Amino acid sequence: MAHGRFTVDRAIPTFVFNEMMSLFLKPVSAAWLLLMLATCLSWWLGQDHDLSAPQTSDYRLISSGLILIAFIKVRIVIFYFMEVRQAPLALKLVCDTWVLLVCGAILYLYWMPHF
Amino acid sequence: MPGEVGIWVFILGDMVIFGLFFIVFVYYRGLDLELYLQSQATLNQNYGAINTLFLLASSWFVAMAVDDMRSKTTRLAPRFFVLAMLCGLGFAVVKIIEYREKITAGITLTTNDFYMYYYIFTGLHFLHVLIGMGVLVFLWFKARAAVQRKGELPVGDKEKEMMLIESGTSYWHMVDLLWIVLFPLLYLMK
Repeated sequence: MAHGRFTVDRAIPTFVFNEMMSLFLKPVSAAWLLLMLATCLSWWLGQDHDLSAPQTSDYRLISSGLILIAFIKVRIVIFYFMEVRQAPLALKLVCDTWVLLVCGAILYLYWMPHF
Repeated sequence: MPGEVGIWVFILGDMVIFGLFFIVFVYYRGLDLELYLQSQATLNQNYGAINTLFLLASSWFVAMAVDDMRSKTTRLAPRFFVLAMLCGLGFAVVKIIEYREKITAGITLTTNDFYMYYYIFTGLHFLHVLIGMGVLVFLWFKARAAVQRKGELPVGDKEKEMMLIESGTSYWHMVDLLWIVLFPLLYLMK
C-alpha cells in the first residue's frame, strides 16, 4: 500500500490527506488566508511607527485605512464564510447596505466629529 | 439561503444593534478625543489582534466542517468542530487575561466613558462567544452522529439537517464579524 510515496501517506490516512487537500483548495480557504493577512497588516499599521503625533493627517489616513480594511474583511466573512454569495439577491443587498451604512457613518463621524 | 430565515432575522437584528453601538462610540469619541486616545493607549493591541486571528481560524474550521458534511464524507467534520471550539476557548482565555489585567490595575466600567464602552461592547460580544461555544458543542454532536450513520440520510432530512447546521455556523461567523470591527474601533483607531 502506497509504497514509495510520500511519507505523509503513512503518517496520515490517505482519505484524510485527500480530503484535506480538496478542502484547502476551496475559495473559502483563500478567503481565510486573505483575512489572516489583512489582520496582520492592521496589527502592524496600528502600532506606533513614530511617524508623528496622533491626530495628524498621517494617523487619520491610517485610521481610515484600518476601518476600510475591517469592513472589507466583514464583507468577505459575510459572502464567503456565511455563504451569502449563494443567497438570494435580497439578502445580499441587505448585507451590503449594512456594510456601506455602518462603514460610511463611522468614517463620516471620524472626519467630521462636530457635524 | 444559508440557514433558516429566522436565524437571519436574528443575525441581522444583532448586526443592526452592534452597528448602532459602533456609530454611537465614534460620535462620543469625537466629542472627547483626548480622553479616548489616552485610555486606548492602555489597551494591549496584541490581545485584540490575537483574538481576531483566533476567531478567523475558528470560522474557517467551521466552514470546513460544513463543507465536509455537505459532501457526504463527514469524517473530518467532528475534528474541525473540535478545532473551532479550541480557537473559541483560546479567545475566551485571552479575554479573561485581559479583563483581569485591567481590573487589577483598577480600571472598571465606571473609570471613564471609553472604558464604559470597552466593557459593555466587549462584554456583550463575549456573551455572544459563550452562546456560540454552546452552539458549536451542539454542532459537534450533530457531526458525530452523522459520522456514525456514515452521512446517509433521506434527501429531505439531509436538507433539514444541513439547514440547522448552517443556521448555527452563520451565527458563529457573525460573532467573528462583530469582533473584526470592534478590534480596530477600540484598539487601533487613533
